[in-house]
Amino acid sequence: MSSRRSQSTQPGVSRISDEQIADLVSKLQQLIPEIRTRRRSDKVSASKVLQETCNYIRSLHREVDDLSDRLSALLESTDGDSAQAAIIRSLLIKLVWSNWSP
Amino acid sequence: MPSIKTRFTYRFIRAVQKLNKNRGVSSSMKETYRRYHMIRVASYASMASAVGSKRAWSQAVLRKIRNHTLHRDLKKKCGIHALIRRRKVSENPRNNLNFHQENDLRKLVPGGEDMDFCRLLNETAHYIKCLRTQGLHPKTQLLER
Repeated sequence: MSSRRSQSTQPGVSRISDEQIADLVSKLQQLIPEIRTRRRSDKVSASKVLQETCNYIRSLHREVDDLSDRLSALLESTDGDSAQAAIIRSLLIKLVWSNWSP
Repeated sequence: MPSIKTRFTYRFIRAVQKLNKNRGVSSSMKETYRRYHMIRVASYASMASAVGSKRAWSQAVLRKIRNHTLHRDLKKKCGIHALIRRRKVSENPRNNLNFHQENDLRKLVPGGEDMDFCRLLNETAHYIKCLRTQGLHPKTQLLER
């Protein structure tokens, strides 16, 4: 990251410090599997973090699309009611067993 | 207070039940696509509703669903907000770092076009955590059977 520049006094320009941004970028870094697995000593540029973040979000979107596709196909099958029951049962079981929260 | 994941799961289940009740008999391409689209919207809507209005990204999703523009916005390239933001960005030289990636990120995170860079990073982190709930875990394991 570049060294801190002097704060601008123009109205309308936000007074975000480089430290704040670096902190937020490193938090983001922890969430991206692509980058998180590297050694802590490896420095990752903010630019790379943003790039990988975009890629990761795109892949998560694709995953939602893909699963929505399969879910709708399941419900479309001739026995949609029992498919629905199976889906619901599975969702609830996974919920009970998971201990994740944001 | 139930977790976001719990709230998401229950909302999504209700949406699936509702969709299944109104299931049409035909399986034309149009009907198939429509059903896929409804489930996809239900997934994002359930998550945004579970998060509530305390996050800018969830507010943006709920607003788009209310205005029936979520689907269109998923394909939207640019608009007035992108123009305003570009002008804001060029006024603050600090924000010219990583401009290209920042641009992309703003398009990917709901409501991202209208926030300052700090807020964008903050919202992105939360958005990613919630997206992971939507995409992974229950549904994945279910459909891998």
